[in-house]
Amino acid sequence: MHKVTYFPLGNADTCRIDLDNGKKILFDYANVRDNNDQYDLRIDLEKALKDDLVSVKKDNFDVVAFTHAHDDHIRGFSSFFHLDHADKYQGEGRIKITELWVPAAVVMEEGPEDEARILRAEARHRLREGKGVRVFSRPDRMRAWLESHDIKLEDRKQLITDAGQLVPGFSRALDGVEFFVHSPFAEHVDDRLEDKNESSLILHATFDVAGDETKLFIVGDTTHEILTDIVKITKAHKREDRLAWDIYDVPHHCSYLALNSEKGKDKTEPVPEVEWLLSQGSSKGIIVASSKPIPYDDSDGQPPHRQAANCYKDVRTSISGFFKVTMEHPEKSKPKPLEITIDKWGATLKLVTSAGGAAAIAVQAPRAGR
Amino acid sequence: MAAFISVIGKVITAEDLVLPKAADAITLINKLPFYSLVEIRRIANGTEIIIFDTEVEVGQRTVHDIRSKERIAVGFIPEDNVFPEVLALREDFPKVPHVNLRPAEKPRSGKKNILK
Repeated sequence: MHKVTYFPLGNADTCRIDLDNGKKILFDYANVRDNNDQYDLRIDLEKALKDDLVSVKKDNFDVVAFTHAHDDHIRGFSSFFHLDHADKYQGEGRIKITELWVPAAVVMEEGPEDEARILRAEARHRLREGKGVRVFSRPDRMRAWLESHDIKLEDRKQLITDAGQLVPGFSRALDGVEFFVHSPFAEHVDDRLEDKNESSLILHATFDVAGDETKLFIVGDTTHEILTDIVKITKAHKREDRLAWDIYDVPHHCSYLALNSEKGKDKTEPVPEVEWLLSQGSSKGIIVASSKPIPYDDSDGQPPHRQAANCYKDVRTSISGFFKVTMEHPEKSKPKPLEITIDKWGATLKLVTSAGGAAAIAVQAPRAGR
Repeated sequence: MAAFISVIGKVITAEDLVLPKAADAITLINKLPFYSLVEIRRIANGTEIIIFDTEVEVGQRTVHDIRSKERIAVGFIPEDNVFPEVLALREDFPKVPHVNLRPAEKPRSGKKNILK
């Protein structure tokens, strides 16, 4: 059985995939909790991830993918991980990264600060060394940077994966999963290729359990414009199956901008291509928003937006599925990691929680139907 | 939208409940995630019925058509000498292997025919 876990981190993202064969893949690391604030309901991510690794006697993640280098996706990573590029990021207790996945922008960006700068240094170091890294890009886009470091593109091509390809290193046969790259991508504009969505990694995972497929769309932060491009390109290549989903990772903390430029009064109406994408959800699919609780009003202009949530709730209803918000699961006052198992029955949202006060008793939610 | 079997009795509030176990059940429903109260009814013989929706931990592909959300009724009788009767109210709730035998085929499950 595979497992996908989303962590309650407010408006920040971290998702872990535990494969049945023991491999662990982490998407983003944002340790945003203030441990000096006893009322901070966000999870202590460092402790949660380390406790899990200790429980299975691992000291590494097989893959750590950073979808982009914004604070709400990378905060504190340089204190948690063993980084190869400098001694000061090494030492006992640090978690190793077997393979680092980053979009090209993380490597190419000029003038990043703080953690983004450290991430760039680590990605560049691994790329120079020629191991332990995968960059998502059109290969030619990397040529100038590589040549400026006296590296031939041909010597690093195996570390660069373009949109429309499967990520090397994972297979249905050996791992029970394959990852298809949607973004970063380039688009033909007049006679030239124009790189789009410079900042974000968007993947589509297909889990295969004895022939039964379960699909996870890992969107990260993006806009309806980018999603529209992805839908159009993927349809043009007749790869609609790479947009079907059983688990939908709601973009950008449930922002309306991932649906439409207009927020709407009570519900954001998705633009046609995004509406089509949302309609690709299968029966009892699970929609997950990594965000604060959905507000009752519009006093805070920041995500999550209740109008966007209402759109996703309608999708939820249409597929008899779930729409879950990380800081509301299982309840707003006590958010816990949101776990989804993947097996021959498809995706199953785990509804285990605890009730009561000091003498909390584990309560299993109703279970039926097999 | 699922169609539900209607439940007999007069709608009452939680404050109107007189059966301790029914009151305890309401407390639990209000306390736990994954449950939401729909309504409470009382029939002439004093049986109190709590109707609620519950989210169900169920995979996408199932042998029987169990949904991610189901509407349930639980009936408590004044004598309190049998287990509360639990009924699935969805009109097309499937005939699963573990339903209890009762005079009426629907609603599914139950031990005493307290709901018509």
